Amino acid sequence: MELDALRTALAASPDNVPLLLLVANACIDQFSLDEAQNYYERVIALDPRQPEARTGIAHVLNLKGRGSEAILRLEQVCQDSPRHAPAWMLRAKLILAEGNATEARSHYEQAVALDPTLADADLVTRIDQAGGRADSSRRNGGRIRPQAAGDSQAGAYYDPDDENEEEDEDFFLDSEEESDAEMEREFVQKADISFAQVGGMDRVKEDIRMKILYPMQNKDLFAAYGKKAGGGVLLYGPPGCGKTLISRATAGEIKAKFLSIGLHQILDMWIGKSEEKLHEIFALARRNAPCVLFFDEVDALAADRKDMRTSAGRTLINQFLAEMDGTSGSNDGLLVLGATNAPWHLDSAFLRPGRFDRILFVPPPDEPAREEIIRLLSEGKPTTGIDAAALARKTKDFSGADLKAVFDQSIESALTEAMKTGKIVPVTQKELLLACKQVKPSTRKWFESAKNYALYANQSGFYDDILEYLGLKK
Amino acid sequence: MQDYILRGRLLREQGRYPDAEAYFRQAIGASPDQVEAYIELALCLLPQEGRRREALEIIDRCIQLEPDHAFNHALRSLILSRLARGRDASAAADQAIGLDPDGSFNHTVKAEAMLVQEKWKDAEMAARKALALDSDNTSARNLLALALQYQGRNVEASVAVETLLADAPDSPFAHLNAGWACLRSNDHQQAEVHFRESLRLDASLDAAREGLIESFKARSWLYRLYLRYHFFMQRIQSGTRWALIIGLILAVNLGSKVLQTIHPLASTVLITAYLIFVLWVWLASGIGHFLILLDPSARLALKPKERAEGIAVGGGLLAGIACITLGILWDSPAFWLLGAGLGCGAMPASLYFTNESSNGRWIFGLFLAFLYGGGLILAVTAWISGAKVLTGRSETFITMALIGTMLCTWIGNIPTLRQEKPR
Repeated sequence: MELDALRTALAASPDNVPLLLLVANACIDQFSLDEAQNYYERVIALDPRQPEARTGIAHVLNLKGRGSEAILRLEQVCQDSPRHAPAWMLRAKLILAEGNATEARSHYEQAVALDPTLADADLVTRIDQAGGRADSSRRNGGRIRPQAAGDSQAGAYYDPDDENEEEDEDFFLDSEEESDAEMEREFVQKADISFAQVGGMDRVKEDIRMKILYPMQNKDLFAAYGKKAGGGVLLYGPPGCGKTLISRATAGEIKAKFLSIGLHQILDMWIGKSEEKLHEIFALARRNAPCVLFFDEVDALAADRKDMRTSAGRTLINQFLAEMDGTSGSNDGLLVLGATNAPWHLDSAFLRPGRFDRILFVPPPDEPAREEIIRLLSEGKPTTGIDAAALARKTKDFSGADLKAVFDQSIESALTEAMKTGKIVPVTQKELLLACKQVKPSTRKWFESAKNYALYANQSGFYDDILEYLGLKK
Repeated sequence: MQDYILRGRLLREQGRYPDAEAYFRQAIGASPDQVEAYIELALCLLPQEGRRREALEIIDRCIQLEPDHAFNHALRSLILSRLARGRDASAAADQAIGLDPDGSFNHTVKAEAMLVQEKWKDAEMAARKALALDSDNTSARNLLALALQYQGRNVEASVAVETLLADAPDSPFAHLNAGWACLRSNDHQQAEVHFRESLRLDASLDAAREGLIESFKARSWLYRLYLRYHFFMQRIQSGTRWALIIGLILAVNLGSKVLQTIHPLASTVLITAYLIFVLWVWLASGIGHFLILLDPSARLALKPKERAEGIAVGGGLLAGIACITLGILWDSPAFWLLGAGLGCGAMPASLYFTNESSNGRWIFGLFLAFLYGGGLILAVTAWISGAKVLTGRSETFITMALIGTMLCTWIGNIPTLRQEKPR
């Protein structure tokens, strides 16, 4: 019945990619493999690089007993979409079934590094039993750690004093190209969006144009005035307001490579005390200049050294400072973007000239921006009578993420209704307005904290933008 | 699994509690008997207001797994202190001390438990013991300074605070402590400097913001008098405090009777003075908030509920007095009734907006609504009817308003109607 309801829903919205994927997955659950494959292929027809559908087809092929073909397809998915963790995980399982435990472990580690929730203790046990061992080159670089939650043997294969360490190190040093490729796979993201695809944020876009894009596009002119293009820019503001998206779009605008380092990778560095890894990332970015090096949740890496309980962590912060200063290589054409929800946790040394010396406040979307986001969110979904302008008026202080939550909630209730009736139930304005009341704007709490910092710790006018936004500065 | 704990600890130390919590819960899911993960999770929940009860549950599970570890009991004591359960906190601290008498942290949590119970001398002794075991224990030094302040030993407290500031100039708690020491010494300007510095170092420290507000209020000499009274009452034990309050009532009664025999006006003056004193004690904080509202820069420090209190207490009282004056001048019952509603409303308003007890908010909120609603309806009725004298219903309303206001001064002393229910 559920699958039937989904099929009916799909009939009304045949190009709805999430729905196609949902139906395809449901078909797999009922072992309707041909039908599932058909839906995945429809997704691929709409978006040839869609990783979930491509992984789904590999899954179907494997279930049909065509394991080798599935592995080949997964190799392609992993190459084209290196951050799609389920593809790595499925690849690990299939490779293990082929008897290659070492490679299986490597893929497993990659999958878990990208998405720790995929950790699978049973799989690790099977890999262990099959003789798979941790990828030592990664271990030395502190690159990807085994993170199997619930895996009591996880520690067994992570041993920094492993007897093969020296040998592994040689391997690591000798295979720079391979290492580069691996790092690219881990960090490089597509910068295939531009400002036009980012809803609202006009002021931020204008600031970025003035502070980042024009200097990079007119290097000589800036050099004539003794100014350098590139450098460091810090984006701060409440969570869910598009800091990461605007960073990607910035890279897209300057047609540069986009290296993205997230919180989990930052934590890897802390735990591994991996100054070397940080240096490698910067080196990779320099080799790929013009390049945007994006640190999400940068306060986790550039933490205030006063807060550090141990001196061990400080060396990583010092390394970050040295890399930003360009002491171990020229940072020409390298733009370091940092995004944070908690700029007050940043070590003040990072705000000095030559480091994150340009600071941009990314506020919650204003009414026209919210209207645009609402329009984007309602695209491709069965809706009726949506008045984006009215919704925008009712969602003051909502972040982009909050608006998405509003839509998710409404879609869920429409889908539940659709399941019951077996008919398409479009999302209505009424449901969205109801969801608006249930979803609390997450930015208010942030501004409560930010206001205190802006009022009492506003040295050098760092938080003037917040005061201005809150109407506390004339 | 250890990896999860390490990641979580890093995030916890950076104040990223939700992220840290996720890792600790994963670690517990992976190994439900891992004591370290429970301790880390409890430490992660402790600073988050409204989640301390969860922290207590977590540490209790941890103690089940490892009952002989002193730190677990000490942490339990700390959580209980933050839940304002002083007696339980003290018992837990004793268990920790029993298991490890030489642990400085164990005596520190004992000191905090004693402070919660307002046993200043015991708190001082425990803090001194903690410092004897570890002279660098900043928390114990802070608690010692506090215990000395509460005992009114201002000179010793000042020395303790100065030493603390010299050793830890970047500690927001040291400046917080110094701010209160200055307020106790009647130096509100220096107190403001310390509270501001404390907030500069840690803008999320709400106690420093509250201190700053007190220093703003203390710009008024009248409020400084109230602060002196407040600090004096804080110094004495709860029992003595009640004896003093009841003794004062009896003394006023007796004095009034004696004065009545000399001159009736003298007795009225005494009773009026006493009533003004009682009302001032209750309304000082709200009036202080109202005065802060008049300062464009200082009012930024107020939270919305404090602003509302300022408007309802200070503004309400002022508007009430103005209405009553107009009522007398124009012989208008409508203004009398409006004035009675607004003026008497100042008392429940002082116990409503910033009250942490939901029961208290209900009781005082209902009375406030009665005063505002009743006053307005009766005033409008009187205005429309053009009445020149108070009707029986209006007289009943005013009597109820006055009795209710006096009752508030009594039931407002019931701790459960003022304090947050431990969660």
